[in-house]
Amino acid sequence: MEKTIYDLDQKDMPTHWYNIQADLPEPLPPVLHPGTGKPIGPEDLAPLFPMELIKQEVSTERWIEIPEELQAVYRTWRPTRLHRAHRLEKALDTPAKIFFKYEGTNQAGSHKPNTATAQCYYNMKEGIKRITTETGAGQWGSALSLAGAFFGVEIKVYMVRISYDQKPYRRIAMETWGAKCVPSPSPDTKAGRDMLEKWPDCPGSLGLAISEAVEEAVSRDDTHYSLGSVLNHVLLHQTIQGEECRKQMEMADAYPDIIVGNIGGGSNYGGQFLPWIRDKISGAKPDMRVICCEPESCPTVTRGLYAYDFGDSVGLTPLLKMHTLGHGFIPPPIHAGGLRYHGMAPIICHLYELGLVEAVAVHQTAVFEAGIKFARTEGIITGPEPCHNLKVAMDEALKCKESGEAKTILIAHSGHGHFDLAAYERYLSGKLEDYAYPEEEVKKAQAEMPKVPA
Amino acid sequence: MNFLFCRTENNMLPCRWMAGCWQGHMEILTFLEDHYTKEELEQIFVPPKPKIESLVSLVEKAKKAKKRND
Ligand SMILES: Cc1ncc(COP(=O)(O)O)c(C=O)c1O
Repeated sequence: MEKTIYDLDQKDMPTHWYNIQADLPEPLPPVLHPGTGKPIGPEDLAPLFPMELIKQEVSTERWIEIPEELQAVYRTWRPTRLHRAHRLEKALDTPAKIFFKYEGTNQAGSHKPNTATAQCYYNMKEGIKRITTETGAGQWGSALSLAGAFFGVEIKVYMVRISYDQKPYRRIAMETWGAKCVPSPSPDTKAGRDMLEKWPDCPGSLGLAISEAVEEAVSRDDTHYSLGSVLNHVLLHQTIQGEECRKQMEMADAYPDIIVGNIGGGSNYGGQFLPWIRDKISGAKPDMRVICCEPESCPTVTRGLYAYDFGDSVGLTPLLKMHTLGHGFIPPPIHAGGLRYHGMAPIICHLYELGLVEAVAVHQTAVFEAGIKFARTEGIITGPEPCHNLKVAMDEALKCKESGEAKTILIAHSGHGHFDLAAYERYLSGKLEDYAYPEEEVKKAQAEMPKVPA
Repeated sequence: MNFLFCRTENNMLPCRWMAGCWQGHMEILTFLEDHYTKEELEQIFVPPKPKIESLVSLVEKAKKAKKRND
């Protein structure tokens, strides 16, 4: 009998998160305060985060215990399942063994509740009654809303206006879990009011929504702010995935030669590969490959390096220490909204610079092609973000077919695509293009868009 | 929305990767030079800040706004 699923008993769910900061060959560079130039300290972050999360942000302890009360909430959906994709392997006619760890089975449908619940828990413990956040497409807002319902914390979500208007289902889900969701720019904050005054029809941007959420958190003592990716403590909470997966791969008597995952801010993939990469750092598995996948049209790592040279050639000098897309953010037409997050986890940038992880960029039509193939073999309708991993994993599996090698490929599958069917529809009807010349937009660009000074 | 997004996502200025992403699809450099001043272009391509640093900047800004209100 072919075994296709590896379930971990709930009693074997990991009780600790893994902190890569204990094992980095070189420590992360300190972050300096923009005003004083001194390293940022806990007091600088205290208006936003509870002390326990601030400690986790800089901790170098290898294992951090998951509080029992939080474990109980994790157990409402964890451990998640590890799958062996036999049907996909057959369809590709590859000798490679493909596994995927699927985070789409929880109440919100992605990996994000792993940190949303942890963040809500620590805030609740420190007496915080409300948490603000921003959301683009709505995945993160949904996860935090769910977590707020579990821990009795009021959630206020600033949702980028264009998504608020175009993606009502995520908003309705957030409201169903009890959160308050407002379009950003909103009249609730000074940042929002200023923008509305200058540009009443502003479609919003993630940068602006962050400004609004932070402003509200700073202005009220009972309110904190929460971020769903990028930060060290977020990646830490996500390592429950990789720790579970290590046990499940052992059940399958397998060890990954290649791990693939998508990187937006880096939280899902970091959560999967960080528990494995310690074997590469220690020298036990020097040949294991860790591949970060991102969209070709607006990638944050690979294109970033390219843009560096390009920037110089126009006489400009962008600096790429952080592979980021910038401060503002307006939801893009490419359908992997989450991958266009405007920053990248410093831990992942650091590992990339140390040469421990690689990055590849893929075109979105190829990405959806892979999503369709996966849906027609394994049955799961995959979110646009993890479709990137599917494409790269399939390419690696096809390379195995050519070389005859039976490599083991592990995919970090971050969630389902049930709220993203409009993107699938565009692909299926042939309307999804990698890039189109924006003729009309260019023509009317100057006419319709007011310039708003930052 | 595609092009408008790229043009406004950096605090209402173009995204700093815009030149790289749109090169090969249109005369993006000419477009940027025609539509933005040298100062604006410099602002567009300033080095990005680490996330924590930008959050701390936002906190400082919000604290100042709060003080003014009180
Ligand atoms: C399903 C899914 N996967 C991946 C991502 C990318 O974010 P991150 O890199 O932080 O995991 C997102 C972001 O919204 C997402 O919703």
